Amino acid sequence: MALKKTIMLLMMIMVMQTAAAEVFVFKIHYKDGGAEVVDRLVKDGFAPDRNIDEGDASFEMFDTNGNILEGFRFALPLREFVDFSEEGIVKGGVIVYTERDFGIVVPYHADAGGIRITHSSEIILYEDMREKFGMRGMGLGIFLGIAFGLIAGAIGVFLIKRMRKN
Amino acid sequence: MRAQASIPTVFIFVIVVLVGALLLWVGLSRSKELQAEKDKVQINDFVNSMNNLIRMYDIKAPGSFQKQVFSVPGEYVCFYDKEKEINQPELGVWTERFSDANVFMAPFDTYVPRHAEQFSLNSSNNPSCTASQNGKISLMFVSLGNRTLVVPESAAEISDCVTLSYSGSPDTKIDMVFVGGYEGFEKDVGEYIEELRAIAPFRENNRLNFYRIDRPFSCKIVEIIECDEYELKKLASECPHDGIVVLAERSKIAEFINPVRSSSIGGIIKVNTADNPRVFSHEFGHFFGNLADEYVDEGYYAGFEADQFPNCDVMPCEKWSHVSSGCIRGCSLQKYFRSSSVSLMRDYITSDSFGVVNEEILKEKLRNYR
Repeated sequence: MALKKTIMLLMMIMVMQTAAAEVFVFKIHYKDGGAEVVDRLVKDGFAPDRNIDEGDASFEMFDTNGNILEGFRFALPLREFVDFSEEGIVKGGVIVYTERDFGIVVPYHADAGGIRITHSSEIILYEDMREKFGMRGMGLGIFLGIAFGLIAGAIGVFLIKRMRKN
Repeated sequence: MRAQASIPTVFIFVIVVLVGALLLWVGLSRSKELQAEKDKVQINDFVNSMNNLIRMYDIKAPGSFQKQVFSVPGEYVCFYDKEKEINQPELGVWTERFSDANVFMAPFDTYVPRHAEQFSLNSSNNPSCTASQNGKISLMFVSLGNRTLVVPESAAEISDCVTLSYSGSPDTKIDMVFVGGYEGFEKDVGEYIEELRAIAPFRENNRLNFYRIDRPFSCKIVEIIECDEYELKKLASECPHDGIVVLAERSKIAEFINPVRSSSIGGIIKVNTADNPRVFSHEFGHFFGNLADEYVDEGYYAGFEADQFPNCDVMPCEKWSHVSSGCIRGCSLQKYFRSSSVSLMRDYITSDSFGVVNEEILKEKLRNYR
């Protein structure tokens, strides 16, 4: 019985290691037919499943080799239905935006290298693939700092060994 | 003379006190009834959600698991594994009295115990009880291959995402998450959900999961509700979400002075809580069905074209010619036509139905979910 419980616990821990879902959250600034990613982060969480694949725009995420990791269609949030009631009468309309910030939540991919947002057939956003932005919680500065530290350490060890030899 | 005058005064005083006491008693009774109704809905949702999860984990791969935070009434909840000996004597009397039940909410004499699908407990205690933290408990469902292990977790495990109604796996359901987190938020969320679930086609098709995030989130309220959508998406991603509902708390007085618009844009529904509660269902029609407004407000529809929306058409209304319905002038603009004289998309104050054509459109969308 104790063995069964231990196996169960181990299995649960193994599953826990792989079950944590992570997402990218992108902040996109849209203006007059163009868009750019102005902020992004990686966090634990859920992305919409997008069972209804429709809208006037599409979002694609690529790995650093240009292979598609994620792709879906969505409606650019540029049309807001507004409604209110006044003296028992429902009124409202549609506000059409030409400039707007919005967010998109997408499943996390460690090897993500670029995204493209297209509106109909016209490309309105493209981020190239030079930066491997799928690395979580490790900015380029920290990455370079660690790399520099490791190189400096190796040189230090090498110099100490050499001095001892002499 | 003074004594004579004081008799009717005393009499009136006694009458006033009696009427006051009666009104107070009626008010308190009604308030208790409403609370009891709310608790009943909450318990039903909790047990139904548990059942759906147990059925799911009965057949999943052994070791797979899922944590879920639930909203529950009462001080604590006890889970009773009916295939094991009971070893917590204080519950014995209740398990005997309600022999079919395996979920008990304390105080036990307030909440009727409920029967959930058979589950296993890993605890040496049977029943295993867990205290609620601000009306919430956390449970882990672990698949044992052909049986589900229910593990009540400590208060520290309570995440921001509270499951209100779980009808099935998020990838097969429409997941709606409510944010707002103000005082009274929980009550408002419950009312909006009940409102939507009472309306066809959602009444007959249980394909919605509902979640709530209690962490405060507020938007700027001007004529419309303006939210930082990046921050909103970050918060909403704590829960499965196909749609986000932001409740913006407004008092009736503030609303009278400055009416604020509820709205729907890009998977986000923003609700002014001072408006009629059915405004949420109206906005849900925009969000889920891509339904246009069926009232006419000529001044606000720049660039509106009926061909972008399934519920507005030009004569002779060919879009819904397969359904026996009307072709009535006025659908966002006077030049377009709608299918019914009154509907939720035309007037959410007087109508509690989407109308035959809109129901068909929504049902078609629901077919994408199981």
